[in-house]
Amino acid sequence: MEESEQKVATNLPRSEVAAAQPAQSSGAGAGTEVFGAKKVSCYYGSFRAVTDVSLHIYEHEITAFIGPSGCGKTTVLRTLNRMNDLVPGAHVKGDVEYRGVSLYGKNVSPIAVRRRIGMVFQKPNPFPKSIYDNVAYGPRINGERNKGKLTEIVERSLRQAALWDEVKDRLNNSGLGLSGGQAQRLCIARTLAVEPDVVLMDEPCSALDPIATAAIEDLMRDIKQRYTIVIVTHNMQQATRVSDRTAFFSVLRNEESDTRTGVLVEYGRTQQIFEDPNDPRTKAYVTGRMG
Amino acid sequence: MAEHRQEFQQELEAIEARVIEMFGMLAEDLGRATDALLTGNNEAVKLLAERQKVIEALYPEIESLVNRAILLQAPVASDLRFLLSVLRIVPELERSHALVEHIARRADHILGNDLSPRSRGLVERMGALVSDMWRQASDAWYRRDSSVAPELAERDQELDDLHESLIGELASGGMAIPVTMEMTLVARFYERLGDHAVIVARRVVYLAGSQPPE
Repeated sequence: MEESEQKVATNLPRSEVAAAQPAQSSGAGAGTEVFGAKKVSCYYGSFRAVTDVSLHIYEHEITAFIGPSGCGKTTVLRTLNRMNDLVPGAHVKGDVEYRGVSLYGKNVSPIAVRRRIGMVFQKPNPFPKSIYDNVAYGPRINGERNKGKLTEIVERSLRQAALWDEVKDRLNNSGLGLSGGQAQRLCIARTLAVEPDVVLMDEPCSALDPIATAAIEDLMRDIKQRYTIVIVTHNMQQATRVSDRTAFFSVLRNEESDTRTGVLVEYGRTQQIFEDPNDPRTKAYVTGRMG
Repeated sequence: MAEHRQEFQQELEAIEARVIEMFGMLAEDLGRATDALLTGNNEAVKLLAERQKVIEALYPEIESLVNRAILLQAPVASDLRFLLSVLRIVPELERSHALVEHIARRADHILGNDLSPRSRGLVERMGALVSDMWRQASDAWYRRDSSVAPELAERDQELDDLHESLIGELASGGMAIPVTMEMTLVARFYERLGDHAVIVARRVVYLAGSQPPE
């Protein structure tokens, strides 16, 4: 079992070169493509939550998904690491390529996918364990038993998550005793501990105060040198502050059949989306006139 | 879907109304100034000085409305482009009206018949051309029409040619020295007014964005 999973995991390429080198500036041209979604539609049972989404996500960039409630941005985010597989009745049509390999291919293990493509959730959800054990959890599952190595990983991950200085003297305290912002950074450290390639963030700051939010945003900018980040946010100012590209999703209503589905309206450089959007729906949403 | 932010929308409209008012005064007064200069009618001089005071009061008022909107409303997209454009354009309008007033003020020193027939004709043509350029610039702003900028740049070239001709005529020494000195300034004022109109039309390119005018 473990062996076959290992084999599947090797099917998922990881750009070693890219992981070793810091990102070049995401100025003019687009970098290496990490995800390529092609006409992706997501269903929960017979309900089509999202229709025909095609977009590319690039290495060492922060890509923001924005849009009103029910537009399917979280659903699309969850297709990027097969999180929707866990929802009964959910299925995906179309294809999502991750570094050139189809994520929904027959011999791709969702476990291996999620190892590469980590996720941080809206509500900080530390395990009821010590801070140390929270971060060491993933590497241990991956078979890391060496105490020295684990300690090294814990420190590195907590440093990357900008939490080390605040918790280094109380690593054995419970993760549940941290403040909201600290707990969220602990969850980010836990995600980073397994050295993923991509970090998906589903409204990571919506439960946090402005100071904790600023800390998470700084952290996102720091770690994008090493990771690729996709973030769902309701806070448009946050999208403008941190993201390189922005995808605007909206709800398409069909009056005749009385159904609605999420669609990708516009995707581009963040500055363009917020300064000079092409689609009137994007303009109405970002200026706060509609939606 | 409901329309939101109506109060903000009203604030934007109030700012636009004031900008349009400035454009309007400028366009009206340009014709008056040329007329005053050529006919020596110094009635207009007082009026234009009054209007300059109105413009000088409007300028900081608009500026503070824009500052407030940027600070409190976190504008983006066309709202942001509009507010930034207003900040850039209002000083142009204020400067331009000051130039118009300077032209009118010469009506106090120069009598229409102090001018040679050729320089009179050139001033007339420059005045008409500049008035027309400003009308176009105002329309471009109002209609968010980015296509006007290249056309105005061409017309500005025409104005520069007239400016050169007038300077040549003044340099030929056919008029009294004080009149020649004043007219050199007047020529320069018209030429600057043309430049400001071109700058305004260029600002409209950013204001209009990539979307066709609504």
